[in-house]
Amino acid sequence: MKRGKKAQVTIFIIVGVLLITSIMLFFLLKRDVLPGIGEKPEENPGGFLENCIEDKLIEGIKLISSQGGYIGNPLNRTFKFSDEKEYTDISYLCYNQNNYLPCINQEPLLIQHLKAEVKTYILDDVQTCFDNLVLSLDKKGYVIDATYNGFEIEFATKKIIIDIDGKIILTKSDETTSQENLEMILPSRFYDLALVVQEIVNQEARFCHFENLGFMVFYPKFNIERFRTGDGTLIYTAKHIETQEEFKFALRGCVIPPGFW
Amino acid sequence: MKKIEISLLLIVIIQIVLLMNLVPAQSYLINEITPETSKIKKDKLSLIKSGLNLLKILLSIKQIGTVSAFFGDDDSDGNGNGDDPEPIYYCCPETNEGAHCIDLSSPFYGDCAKELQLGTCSQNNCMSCCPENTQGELCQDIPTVHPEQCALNLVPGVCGENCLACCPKIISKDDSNRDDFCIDSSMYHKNCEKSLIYGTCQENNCQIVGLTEPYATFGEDYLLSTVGYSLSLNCCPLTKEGAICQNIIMEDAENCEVFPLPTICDDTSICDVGCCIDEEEGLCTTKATKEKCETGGGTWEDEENCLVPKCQRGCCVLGNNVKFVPDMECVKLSLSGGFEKDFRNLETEIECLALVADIATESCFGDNCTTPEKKDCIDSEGRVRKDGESWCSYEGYIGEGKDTVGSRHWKQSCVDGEIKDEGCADYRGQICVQSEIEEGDLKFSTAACIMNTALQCITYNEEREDMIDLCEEDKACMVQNVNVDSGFKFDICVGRYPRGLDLKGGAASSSKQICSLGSQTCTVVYVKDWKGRWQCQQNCNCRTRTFTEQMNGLCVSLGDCGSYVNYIGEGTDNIRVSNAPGISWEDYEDYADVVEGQFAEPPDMSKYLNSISGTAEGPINLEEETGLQKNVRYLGHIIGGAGILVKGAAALNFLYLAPEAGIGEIFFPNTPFAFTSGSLGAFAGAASGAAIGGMIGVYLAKSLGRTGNAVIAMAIAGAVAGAIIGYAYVTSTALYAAGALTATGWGVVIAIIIMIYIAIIGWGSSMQVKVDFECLPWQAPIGGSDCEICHEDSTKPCTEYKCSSLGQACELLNENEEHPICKSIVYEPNPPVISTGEMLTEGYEFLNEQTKKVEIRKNNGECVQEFTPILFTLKTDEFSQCKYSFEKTSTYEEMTEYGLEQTLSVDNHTFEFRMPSLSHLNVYNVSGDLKESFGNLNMYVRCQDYHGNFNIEEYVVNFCINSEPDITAVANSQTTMIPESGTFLKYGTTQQNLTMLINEPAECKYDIIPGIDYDAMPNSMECNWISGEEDEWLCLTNLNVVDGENKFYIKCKDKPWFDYLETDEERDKYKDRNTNLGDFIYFLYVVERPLTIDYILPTGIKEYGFEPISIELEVKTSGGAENGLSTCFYDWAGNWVLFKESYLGVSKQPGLNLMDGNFDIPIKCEDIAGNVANGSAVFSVTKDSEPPVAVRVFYEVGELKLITNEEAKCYYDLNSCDFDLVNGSSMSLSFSTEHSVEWSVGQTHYIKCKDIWGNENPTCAIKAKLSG
Repeated sequence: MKRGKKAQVTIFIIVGVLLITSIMLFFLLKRDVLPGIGEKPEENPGGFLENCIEDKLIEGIKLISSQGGYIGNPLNRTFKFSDEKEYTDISYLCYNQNNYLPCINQEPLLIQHLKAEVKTYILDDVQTCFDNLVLSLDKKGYVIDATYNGFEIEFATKKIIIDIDGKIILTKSDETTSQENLEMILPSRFYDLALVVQEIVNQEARFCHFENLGFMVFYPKFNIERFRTGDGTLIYTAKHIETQEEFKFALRGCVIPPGFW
Repeated sequence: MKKIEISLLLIVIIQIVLLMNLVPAQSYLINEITPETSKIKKDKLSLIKSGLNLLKILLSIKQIGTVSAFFGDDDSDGNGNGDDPEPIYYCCPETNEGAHCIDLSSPFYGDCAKELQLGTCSQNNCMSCCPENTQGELCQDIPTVHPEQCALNLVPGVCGENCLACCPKIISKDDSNRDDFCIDSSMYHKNCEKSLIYGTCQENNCQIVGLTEPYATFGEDYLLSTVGYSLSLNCCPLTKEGAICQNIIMEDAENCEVFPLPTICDDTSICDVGCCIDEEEGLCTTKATKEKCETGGGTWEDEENCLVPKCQRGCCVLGNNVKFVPDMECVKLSLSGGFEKDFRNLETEIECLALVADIATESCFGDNCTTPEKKDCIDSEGRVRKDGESWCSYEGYIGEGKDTVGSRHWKQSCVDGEIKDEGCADYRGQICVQSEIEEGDLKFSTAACIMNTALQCITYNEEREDMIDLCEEDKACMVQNVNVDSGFKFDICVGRYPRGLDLKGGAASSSKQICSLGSQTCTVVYVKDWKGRWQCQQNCNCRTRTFTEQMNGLCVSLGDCGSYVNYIGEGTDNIRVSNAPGISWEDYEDYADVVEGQFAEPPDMSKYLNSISGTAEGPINLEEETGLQKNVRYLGHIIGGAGILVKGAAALNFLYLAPEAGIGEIFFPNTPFAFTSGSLGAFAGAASGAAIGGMIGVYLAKSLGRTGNAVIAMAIAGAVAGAIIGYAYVTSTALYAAGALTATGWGVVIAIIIMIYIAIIGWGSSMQVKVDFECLPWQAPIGGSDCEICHEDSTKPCTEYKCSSLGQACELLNENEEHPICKSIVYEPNPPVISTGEMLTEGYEFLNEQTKKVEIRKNNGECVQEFTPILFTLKTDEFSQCKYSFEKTSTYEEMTEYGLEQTLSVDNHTFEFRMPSLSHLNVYNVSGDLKESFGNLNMYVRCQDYHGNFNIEEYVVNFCINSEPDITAVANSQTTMIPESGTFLKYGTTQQNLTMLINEPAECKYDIIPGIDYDAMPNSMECNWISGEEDEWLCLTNLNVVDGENKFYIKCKDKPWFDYLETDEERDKYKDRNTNLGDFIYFLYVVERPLTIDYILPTGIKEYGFEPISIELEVKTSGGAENGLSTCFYDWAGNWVLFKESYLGVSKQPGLNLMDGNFDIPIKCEDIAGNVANGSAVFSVTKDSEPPVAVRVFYEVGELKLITNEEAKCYYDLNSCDFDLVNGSSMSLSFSTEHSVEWSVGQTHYIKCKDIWGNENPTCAIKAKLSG
């Protein structure tokens, strides 16, 4: 019985050693990106870039979301909600200057437009981050051959993806590694909100109405508020309840003037 | 001899009587109920004048003839140029001095600002734009070296598409020449009086309206915000604000970043609105403009609501979540989410959501599913409201035309335990409607803000016969019944929830027009009884409070008019009533209280259901589906739309309203102008002595102003005398023969005595009292003590409308914030300072201006010409109301007359005063004092500011009337014709009433032959020159018309009273009467062919693969007034809706979203003459949801042939039926019923097909095993 126990313990030990070894091997083999560079964030280019660009991206998303999808747009309605400290120029995504008539969609390809706006906002910073990464690695003693050809932005549910079209070749101690097309993924509900915004604009342009309460009943993750200003402009605020991310935009259509005409 | 005299006398009497056959008709009129009794007094004189005129005609021999003259403009240019140009070798495109295309020789090369081109400009084909060439052709590119080919100066560069223009009116001295209007021109012509409009006049549909004062209008496209004022709209591709594709009026061209296009945006290639498909993201965008879509990389389709196959939604399953999206979006979502695409053809969002276990408690939208906790709310009345429930909240009494000024409708909803307030459009542009569902103890309400269709209600009054039915059917309308007396009662359709008016802003001036619809005059008729006492005969109740109450009720229901209260119960009186008791706003204070449980009901849904769904009966009966089910299905396509049926329908209401419809003319059934010539002839043909005598009696009674029983008494007395005279004449018995004198003579004497008695005591004399009710725009209370109440409730933000309703001194601040504040303007004790503004009447000026006095005189210092309306403005240094009077008063309140702005507060006040004729005043026994006062007249003006400060000392405007004799005839240029000259009359019209408003009292006649002297004209009009209403001299007649063109030649003769002047001295003083020498030509066109509908589309059966589908209605008309041009409407849910497009008799209405069913949509078309053609669009819509069926397979020339029952694409696989079509091998080049593949012996072809709607065989359509 005792022999049996010893044998059992031995087997456990062997299995344990194998397990630990295999786990170590897994991590060792998995870390095929820049092996031997170390574990610090700046030594993981994807992580480094994410950290570097995150603040600017969030800032840009926040700005664009609060201004109706634009960094700047002359077609806007200046407004301040009670919980805000400053006036914001909220862009019209759908607009008709005439009374009674439905609005004309001002950004038919809204998602494409938002991508372009976000890209414009972080354009310089992405390159700067890339340069900083190269510089950081250079300080670590790597011989670096880096090329940067710009980047693309993709929106998807729950995330924003930045694909850098570039290449980094590192050489240290005769060991060469390379990394192409760095991808950064940032969690965001921006895309989901943009889809809701597009739906609102579509329905307002078509029906002069969006049934926000019905929408919220079906999709309780979103809160849609509508404020009607004195000049008939509607300011919509679409909010993702869980993350509190929101998108504000203005709309002018089917405005009913005082009196009969 | 005596016989001859008697005969002559009788001839004269008969002629007079025959002429006077108006008399009995108008006697009848008096005994009728009409308040239009102003004709009574004029009759006596019109009778005299008509009779005398006829005698003049009979006894005169007039020369009738015309002399016409044409003045030709024989202008000839004979400029010759004998220059022999030097040889030129280089063409200079532009010289230093700015000249274009100049040939330069070698010493002058340096004069060229641009690069020289080898050869002459002619050789280089250097062209310039010629706005108009010598042949009269517009916008022609011609060689610059040949300027002689151009009638105007050449313009550098080629003409391009923006050269052609339409000139509404060219500069000319003659405003009545119709040839000067709607002239095709170029943008470079300098002879246009108005702004040029891009495009030709035909493209702009430039039309000439009116004859005496013609003007041009442009097409049917006009700004909705300026109903009644037709303007051409142009498309601005990009405004300076950055908005794309906005329709603007040309006057706003400066706000356009680029050059406005000459048509509305929908008709341009770049701004046409359709569906933009983003293939990359899989998204569809409605109401997208073409250029913006395509330049961004999208695919544009001409269906603005995206009812195209690619955008049809289905259920996209993404793991545990679902989304109701188009197929292509599902591809993108699946890819980015890392899921395999799972797209299911479910029709509605609710079906899609039902895929997730229990959508009531667990629903998702691109997220992990969670179970949200439902939280109820408790409303202000203590009622528990469920999460998702919505209800209406109001700020006072609603409905019955009693919504208070400043009030707004609110929609409240319970969202996650929190009550959200959402304001409906301010000024009650929207109303909140509520629908309650009760099941056992459970109550659930839904609410929505829908458009307030008060405007539609007003237009129902055009439908005279159906007005009551239409009005009562429409829940937004109500019939306002005014029933004061038998002669003053009418029904009018008004909005149940009156729209608010602009109390202060720029649109405030239109408020008075709206309110003026409620201004009416009731004429009360008094008649003297046989004792000589005045007894009220007609409309007696108009002199009671009932009149004022009912009229104020109408006034208030028109909008913010009349004596009424604001939403906090404070008010003002804004009516003027004469000869009846007044009424106070305080009587309406209770309407500011909210009535618990009161709410507005949603529109009748059944109409909309029928409109959208058609009927399930008839030849096509695919499925037994009710309209309600179809509507649920329809709404199910709208994200968030299903389950909120009432609100969804309310939203649809927006779609199918016709907001572009202008305000219609209001018809008051019992107060039309009673034109009496229809009664002519009622007594014509009377030949017996008794009848003649009776007529004379009536005539005498009328000429003495007697009415009622007195007329009858006189008629009887006259008849007796007439009978005797007639008898005597017929029997050849001399009236004065001694033998006959005894009986007949006494009879005559008695009759005459009776008549004299009646004349002396005045029995039957009538008197009319006009009871005026003037409905004025509502004004806020003086001061600003209540301003801050506006922003006390933080859940209901203050607005401009609310704030301005609380006090005249209230002002809204921080408008760009969620919670603006309403503050009072700082109090100051100073009244407005009045000063002169602008003299709007040409030829007059302000003179001798002092601090508080000014004179108005002609530019040469003379007094104001009689009959001349003087229009001028006075300015105040702050916003204020102004009143005036012609007598001195001590307070502002004592003054009765407002300026043209009425009760509105403005800083530029307009006054109009029409100077009366001194001679007119003199003749009709106006007192000498009045003449004196009019001769040197002071208008006293006071103004009152927001705080109630008014001028203690009046501002004096002094006039004097030029007492020089009137030596001008009636001015044609100041004459208004109703209907306008050139009007088309309905097919089959034989008579037409004409009303002619002239600028001075006169008699008018007409003929159908030109050039006849006034006195020789046979047709007299009925002119009311005795009524004394100086600004309403009108002449009436009934014209006989024939098919085609009818021309009438009219002349007038002023001073109709002149012939009754008693002394030569007076006649010398007023000079002779002035008669028009030239004819005033009036045209009417009777349409020669009826308006007919040639065709209506669609017809038959329309098959589609999805719902709702987009149907285009089309109707073509011909005949009628303008060769088929007409305005067409289709009946949609009981409302006539204007077709969206109309061109050359073809009207189209795209984008009707329909579910499957049978449709019978009534259509009516109307041309400008009022000809109506009716028809119906009868068609069926079927939905093809079945996949193609293989009906035949066979061998043919080495190929396997497959025939399907509908056009389809077919694919095969050689292994099984379980394959995706994208992976299959194609058997079809395009959608077809024939498909083929090479014959391969021994192989089995598993074939699946897909039709054009995307219906695909779930398994094999057919398996074909090929044998030898």
